[in-house]
Amino acid sequence: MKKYWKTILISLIIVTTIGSYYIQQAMASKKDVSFKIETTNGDKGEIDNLILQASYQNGGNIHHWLQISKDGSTNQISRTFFRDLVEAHEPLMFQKYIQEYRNFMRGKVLNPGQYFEDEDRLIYTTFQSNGRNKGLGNLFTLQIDTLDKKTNDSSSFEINMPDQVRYDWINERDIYIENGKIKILATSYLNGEEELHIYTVDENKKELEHDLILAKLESEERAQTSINILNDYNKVQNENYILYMVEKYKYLDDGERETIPSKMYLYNYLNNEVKELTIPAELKPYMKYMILHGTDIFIPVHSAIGLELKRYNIEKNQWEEHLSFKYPSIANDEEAPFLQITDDKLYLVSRVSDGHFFFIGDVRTGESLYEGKIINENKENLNADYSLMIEQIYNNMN
Amino acid sequence: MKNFFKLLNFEVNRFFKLYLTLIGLIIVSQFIGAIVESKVYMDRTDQEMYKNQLSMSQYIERHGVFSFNYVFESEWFLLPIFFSIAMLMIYVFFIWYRDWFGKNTFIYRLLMLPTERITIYFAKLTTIMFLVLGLVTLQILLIPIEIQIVNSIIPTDFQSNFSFYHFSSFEIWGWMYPNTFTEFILIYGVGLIFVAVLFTAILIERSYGLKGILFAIVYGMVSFGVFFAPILLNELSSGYFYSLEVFLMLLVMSFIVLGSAIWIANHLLKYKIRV
Repeated sequence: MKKYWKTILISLIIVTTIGSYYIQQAMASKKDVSFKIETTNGDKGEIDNLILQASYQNGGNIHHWLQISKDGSTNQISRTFFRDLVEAHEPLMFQKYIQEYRNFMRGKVLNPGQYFEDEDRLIYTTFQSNGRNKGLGNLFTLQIDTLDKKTNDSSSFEINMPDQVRYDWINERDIYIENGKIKILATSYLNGEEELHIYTVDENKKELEHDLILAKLESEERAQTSINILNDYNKVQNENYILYMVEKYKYLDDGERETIPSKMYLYNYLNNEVKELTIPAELKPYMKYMILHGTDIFIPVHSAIGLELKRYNIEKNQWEEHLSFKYPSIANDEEAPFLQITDDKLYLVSRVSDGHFFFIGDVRTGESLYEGKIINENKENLNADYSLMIEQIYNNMN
Repeated sequence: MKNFFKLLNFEVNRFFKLYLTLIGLIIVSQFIGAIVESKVYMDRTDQEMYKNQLSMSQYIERHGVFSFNYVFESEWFLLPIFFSIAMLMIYVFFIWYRDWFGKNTFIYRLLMLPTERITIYFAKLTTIMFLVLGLVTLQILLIPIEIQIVNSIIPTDFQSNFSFYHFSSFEIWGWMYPNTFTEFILIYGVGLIFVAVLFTAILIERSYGLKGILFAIVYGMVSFGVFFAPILLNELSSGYFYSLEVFLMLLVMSFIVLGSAIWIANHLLKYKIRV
């Protein structure tokens, strides 16, 4: 025994040190940050089926992902190995797809702009480049995969894009499907030029029927211009309109950029028409916060006493009475308020001094439905200057 | 089993003096680093405050408080670690070749021991892991002391909170001290497989001479290829497999690579090894 003391001693030190290091690690992660929603006003039932996908930063640059619901928050500690393996940090929508359609989802890019879903089908489209013609752009094939949700059968077909469709890459933004026509909204890039296209594919003939260019930016413009699509990026169901703006900037001397009043367009999937929207001068500064919802376009204007939602009706072609929601608003430069309109409800999360104010309103009536607060339950684990970012609010995920 | 421990103890003893030297070097260099970096920071702070007539709080507002990164990213801190890694890498080869090329061909006596010869292989493999984990442990023990040193030099107002358990946000620490014990086992398990493959490659060279070098290289490349096959497969099929599936495939491949390394080593030691 005496002969072995060195080996035994070192072994003991190794085991106890590494052991206690990991025990403490485990304890430290248990004391993690957790958030809960406290109702202050309105119907508690409003938040029953809500899941807020969020991330917080506790000083430093690490995003800790979590989901907040009425039962508190599930912590998805960043960079935890096994969590990463089961795709827990993917948007909730894709977690659900992967769970339900595991085989169909294999090898697919998790970009909501490439998906379409209705009651019967889940459709995925992707442009695959099949060449490396430097300077001339790549040739593309468009692959369309369809899953029948009821039978779980999937089918797939490919279309070779015509020779003149040559780009460096194509970024899909939205899919619209109606009467056997698949319309794909995509931004295409070639040698610094940017184009916004609608590719129309006939599902039955399996061929590209139409290629419409909605907007085009020359390469010299691109430093000062960009095309912004203002539709809800996460929505995979049909939306009849696409709202997009061509935004122009001017760079000031101190490097800041100033936005020059830009043009706003509305594309109608049903009749393939584009029209320019005229925005009243006083609303121009808020243009880029526009939200498209059904046949309404909303412009949120935050003020000291709450929120005003300016409303434009697309079908009636006119500005209508604005909605106003009153709540104590505290201006905050660091965290812009989060705003989402889904199923006729407005969801708003805004930083206040002791947490985050959470508001739900009805955009049909302008009524306030719910007021609450998202607060952090264990203050000692979070720096005072933490930030909480809401990525998306899901309703009725089950 | 008893023979294994005897051999292990024997191997550890053989490296012990050099090991103590390494440990001494790390301690001295890192402590000096902690002192020097803190002093440099304080000198700079004093100068800056004097030059610009700043109060303490104004200075902190502009430049922030002392960050432990100054110490942990300094050469004083990192060089001894890299040096130790290099030494241990060399020792992976030395642990075998010294037995052939040492003063008296010691391997002759080792192979004559009344025990399974693969025990020698296991003892040497365990020794390497033992030495590595010893240094990993040393670093865990040193950090709190270094924090104390820094805090004794830097005035309280400039001190920042350093939680030991946020340590792994540093890039290389993330690998050396992963967040969970499972990952720790996985990472050092991969290290173990790497050493085992090198050992087997050495034994191939020892068994077949010059030709053996070629065999050893081919063997090493095949092992490497088999190990990374799942990742390659997933790349080629552009992400067809989910991460969990790739992980399980990697796990299976790891066992295959480790198992075959041990099996080949056993075979060579029994029938082919040349003295």
